Amino acid sequence: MLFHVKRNPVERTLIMSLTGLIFFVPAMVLPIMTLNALGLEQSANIIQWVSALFRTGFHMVGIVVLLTVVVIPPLKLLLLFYVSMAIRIKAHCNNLGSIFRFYQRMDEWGMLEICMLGILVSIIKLKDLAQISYGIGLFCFVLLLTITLISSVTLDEHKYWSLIQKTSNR
Amino acid sequence: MEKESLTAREAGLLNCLDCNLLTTKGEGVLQMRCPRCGARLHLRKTNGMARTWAMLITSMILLFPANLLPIMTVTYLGEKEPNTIIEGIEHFIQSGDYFIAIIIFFASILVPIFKVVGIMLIMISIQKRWKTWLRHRTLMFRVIKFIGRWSMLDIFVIAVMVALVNLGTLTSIKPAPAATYFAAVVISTMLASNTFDTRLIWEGA
Repeated sequence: MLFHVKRNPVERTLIMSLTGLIFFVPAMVLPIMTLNALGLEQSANIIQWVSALFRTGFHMVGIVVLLTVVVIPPLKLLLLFYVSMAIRIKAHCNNLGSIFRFYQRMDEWGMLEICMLGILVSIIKLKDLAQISYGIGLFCFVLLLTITLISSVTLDEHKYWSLIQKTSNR
Repeated sequence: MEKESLTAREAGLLNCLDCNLLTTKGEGVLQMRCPRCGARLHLRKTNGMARTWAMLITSMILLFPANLLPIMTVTYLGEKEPNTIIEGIEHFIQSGDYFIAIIIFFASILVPIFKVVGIMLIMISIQKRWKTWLRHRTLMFRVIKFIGRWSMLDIFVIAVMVALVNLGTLTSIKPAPAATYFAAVVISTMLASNTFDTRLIWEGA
C-alpha cells in the first residue's frame, strides 16, 4: 500500500508532539535505573550518561549520544508541533516548507528506539553482577519513545506537503 | 531488460527528493529549487558516486580499529579487563544469553559489514553497467538504509554501563578507543547511504 488517508492527521500529530514534549524533560532528568552492588548504589539519568562519557574523555561518543538522544528527539517533536500548529491556525508563514524539510532530514538521526534497546541489553548484561531497580525516568522514556514512534509512523507526509503548499500560497 | 516507459528525465520532469513534487525542468537546472519546499533540485544527487565512495572507504578503514581494539574496559574488584566487541559477544554466549549475543552480533558486526559490502556491490554494479537484478539491488539498498542506524546500539550500551557501573576504583566500566571508531563507522555508513542516489541504479536499464 503506497497511500492511506487518515482522519484528522494534523490534529493527531499536534497532540502527539505536544504530549511527547511534556514527557521529554522528566525522561532526561529523572533516573533511568539504579544499580546496587557491593553495598554501593549508583543511579543515573540520561544527562549523566553523556557527562560520564565526557568525564572519561570520550567526547566524540558523548556528542553522538547527546545529539541522537537529547537534542534531536525534542527538536523533531518541536518542529512537528510548529508545522502542525501553523497549518492548523493557517498562520502566515513562508518557511514552513524548509522547516518540514529539516524535520524529514533529522528523522533518522533521532535514535530513541535504539537507545531503548541499548538499555535493555545493558540490563541483561548487568543483572548477574548487581541488583537493578528501575526509576521513573525509564517510565517517562518509554512513553516519550512510544509517542515519538507513533507520531513519525502515522505522519502523513503527502498530506502535510499539500497542506504546507496551501498554507504558503495564500 | 526491455524499455517499457518514458523516464522522468526524458519527459523533462524533475522529482523533488524532499517533498516528492514533480516539476517541469527549467533552463538552469543547477540552480533550480523546488517551488513547494525550496529544496535544491538535481537530476542526480551532486557527486553522488564520489561522495558515497569517500564515505564507504572511510568506514572500511574505521571498521578495523572498531573491531580489533577494545571497546570498553571492565574493572571488577580491582582487576582490569579490556573487551573488544567480539569478546563481549563471547561473554554473553558463555553466560547463556544467546538471544542478546545474536542481537549484538547482528547490530555490531554483521550490519556494518553487510552495509559496507552491500553498498560497495551496488556501486560496482553501477560502474560496470550491469543490467540485471535492478529490483533486487534497489530493495537491498532500502534494507541497508533501514537497518544501518541500529548499529548504534553498542554505543548506547556503553553509555548506560559507563554511567551506572562507577563504584569507586575497584569496580567500574570505562569506554575504550574502539567506541569512538565504532561511532564513526556508524555515522560514515549512514552518510554513505544518504549521499547515494538510488536513481543511479536504474540509469543503465
